[in-house]
Amino acid sequence: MGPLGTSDLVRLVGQCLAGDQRSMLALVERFQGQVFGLCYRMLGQRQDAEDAAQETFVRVLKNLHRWDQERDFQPWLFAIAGNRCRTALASRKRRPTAELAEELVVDDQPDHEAGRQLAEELHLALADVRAEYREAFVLFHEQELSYAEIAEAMQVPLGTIKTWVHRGRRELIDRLKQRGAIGEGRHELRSV
Amino acid sequence: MNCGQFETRLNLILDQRRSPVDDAALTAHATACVQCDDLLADHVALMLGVSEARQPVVRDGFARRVVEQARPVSARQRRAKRLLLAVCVAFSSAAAMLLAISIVWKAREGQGVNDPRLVRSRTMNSADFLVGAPSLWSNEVAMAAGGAGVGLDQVEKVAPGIRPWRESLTQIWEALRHAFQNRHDPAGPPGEEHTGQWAIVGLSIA
Repeated sequence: MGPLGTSDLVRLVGQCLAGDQRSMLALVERFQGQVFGLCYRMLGQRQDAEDAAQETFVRVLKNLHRWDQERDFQPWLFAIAGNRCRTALASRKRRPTAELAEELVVDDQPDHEAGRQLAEELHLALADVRAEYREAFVLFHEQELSYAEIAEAMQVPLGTIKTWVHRGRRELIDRLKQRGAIGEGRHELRSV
Repeated sequence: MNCGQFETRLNLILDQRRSPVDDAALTAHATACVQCDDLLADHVALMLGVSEARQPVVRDGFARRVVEQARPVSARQRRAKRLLLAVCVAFSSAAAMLLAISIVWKAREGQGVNDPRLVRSRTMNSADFLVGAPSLWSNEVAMAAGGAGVGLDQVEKVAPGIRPWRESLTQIWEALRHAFQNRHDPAGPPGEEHTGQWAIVGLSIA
């Protein structure tokens, strides 16, 4: 589905508020990939991520009338998703890493074997990083939100978000090094 | 460029979503500094991992499940909810009032309603009703405490904390009684012996 302009989004939200189910479907389908992506990276497990994403959209649809149309929709959406993920993290017991490894998204293309392995290691490393760093990192590098949007979504100052993203990168590098995924003899990656 | 400046610039480049290997200043320092060269390589590897990470895909029918579970509350639905709440409150109030009336009715039966003074008139005014309230309360408390034969004094012996409350209420009701009597019955207040019974009859009619 293509990008949605602000006016299109406002119109779509208006139709959702009027009770049009097709518009609701369209709204969810437009953002489900991003929200599920964030939840998946935050929670590291598909079923939990889907539950969190579903709760997020249910809340969004029920509270659409509270969205301030003067502001961007995405930070508001990701704020709700982040809250659901934090609640899920707080309420569940930590799962063993081996269980998470079985649920990784698999890319079957052999050309990308090295990159795929690194992506898997990154996914596992993300689970060990502080939740705030993880959320900021994923929103910036995967969802490609701006620092200002992330600050609005996480409701912290922009400078703090920058610090969290920088520290998130360093912590991830440390975890990847500990796992042997990067480090000695891997400098050739620079040319990729 | 020193190592601190190198790291600051590296973060700046990554914050701008640019490739650090394309930055001449960074690569120049990295060729001369092993530690910074490692740091650069590590960050490049990390970004490679990010770019290779596939966006996970939700199962089919996700959006439909969400929409089935939640429909946004429209303004019309909110009004309907408020109306429903008001109706519920009204019914609850009516039920509470009926309960109160039934209690009073019971008390009236216990006290002997055959007294001709109790059925004197069905056209009382609000002053008559208010005037009888303290006696009514006294009777009800006495009834609740153990039947028609138990007086308020006996109740207060068991629960002495009631007394100051009763005295305060009595004073308030006395003040109200005088105010209403002055307005509705300039000829003078009715006899004290009638007031409680008037209240009982008033509530029964209600």
